[in-house]
Amino acid sequence: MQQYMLLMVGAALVNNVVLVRFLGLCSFMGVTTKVDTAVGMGMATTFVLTVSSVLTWALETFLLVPTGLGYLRTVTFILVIAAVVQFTEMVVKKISPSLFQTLGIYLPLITTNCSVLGIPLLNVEHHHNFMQSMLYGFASALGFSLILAVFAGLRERIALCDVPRLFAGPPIGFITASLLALAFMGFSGISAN
Amino acid sequence: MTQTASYHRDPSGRTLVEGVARVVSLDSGFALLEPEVTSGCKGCVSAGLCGAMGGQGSLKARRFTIRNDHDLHVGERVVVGISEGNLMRASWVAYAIPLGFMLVTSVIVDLSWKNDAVTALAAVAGLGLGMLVARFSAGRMADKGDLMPRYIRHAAPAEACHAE
Repeated sequence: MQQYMLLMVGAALVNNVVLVRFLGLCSFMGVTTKVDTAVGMGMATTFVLTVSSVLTWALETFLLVPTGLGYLRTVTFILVIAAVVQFTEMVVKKISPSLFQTLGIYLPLITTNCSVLGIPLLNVEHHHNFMQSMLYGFASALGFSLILAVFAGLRERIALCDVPRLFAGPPIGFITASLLALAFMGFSGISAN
Repeated sequence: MTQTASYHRDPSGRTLVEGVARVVSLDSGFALLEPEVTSGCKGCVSAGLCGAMGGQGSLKARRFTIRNDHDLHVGERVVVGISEGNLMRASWVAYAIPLGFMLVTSVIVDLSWKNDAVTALAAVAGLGLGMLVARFSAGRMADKGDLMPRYIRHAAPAEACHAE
């Protein structure tokens, strides 16, 4: 159990998918203008990333490795992710059409989110078993959602500030992101101890 | 709805997430509305892949009804809103409940059996169970009208969505 907890803390904070691995940067900058959109996107990504991690583990273990088709890994994983996004969209629509109307906007954006492909590939690279793959995907997505929400909160505050004209918009966003990344570097001390 | 987010408070002080939509038809006291695609969406690098703005079909799928208490007419643009709290609850119902069931079931089975295949089957079962619970919860929210957007005002001619 302790091993799983360490894996999750490492994935969410120490090796944060956005600020340390630099994955999913387009959605990080694109959907963080408002906290509610950031949280909605974060939750949808958490669901898709966790389910994708599970499915890609099964595919890797029961199909790609036994048949020696490891060279098709990236293509296969992209297909799986696209299928999971479509499946999620269908399920949300089936569970409640009202929910689909409210939340459906985020799902197509996840298909083009590179962190959703990056995490299953990292699972393969680290030779994770089923539980490790699932928890690593889940914790990475939690870290992604946390950063999205924190950064959206910061940008909402920045929007109320008197920012010099040359820095207004994306420039001040990038500067804030770099300061946030520096703050998260503090978590790397956890692994050293 | 949420891609067009800006903020407004209803009379009870709750924050609403606003969006602009166009009335496409009227039917016995209700108006059918279609959300407008944001200008920010058109500039997105993923625009070609995105179902949110991928042609008329996807917009039709996102149509919703509101009570026509304000004498709306076909073609009018209106600002509608949904409570921020309800939006958060909807996110929990749709994603967190199925995921939570999947994770808890997997951890319990893994601690008991220590077998990857059995744990994977338990995860699938947990996900299915979670979806059933989510369906029940979403039904209750819909029955209470928590997921139905509300009319706020008519949109000004130049008023657009505020994605960015």
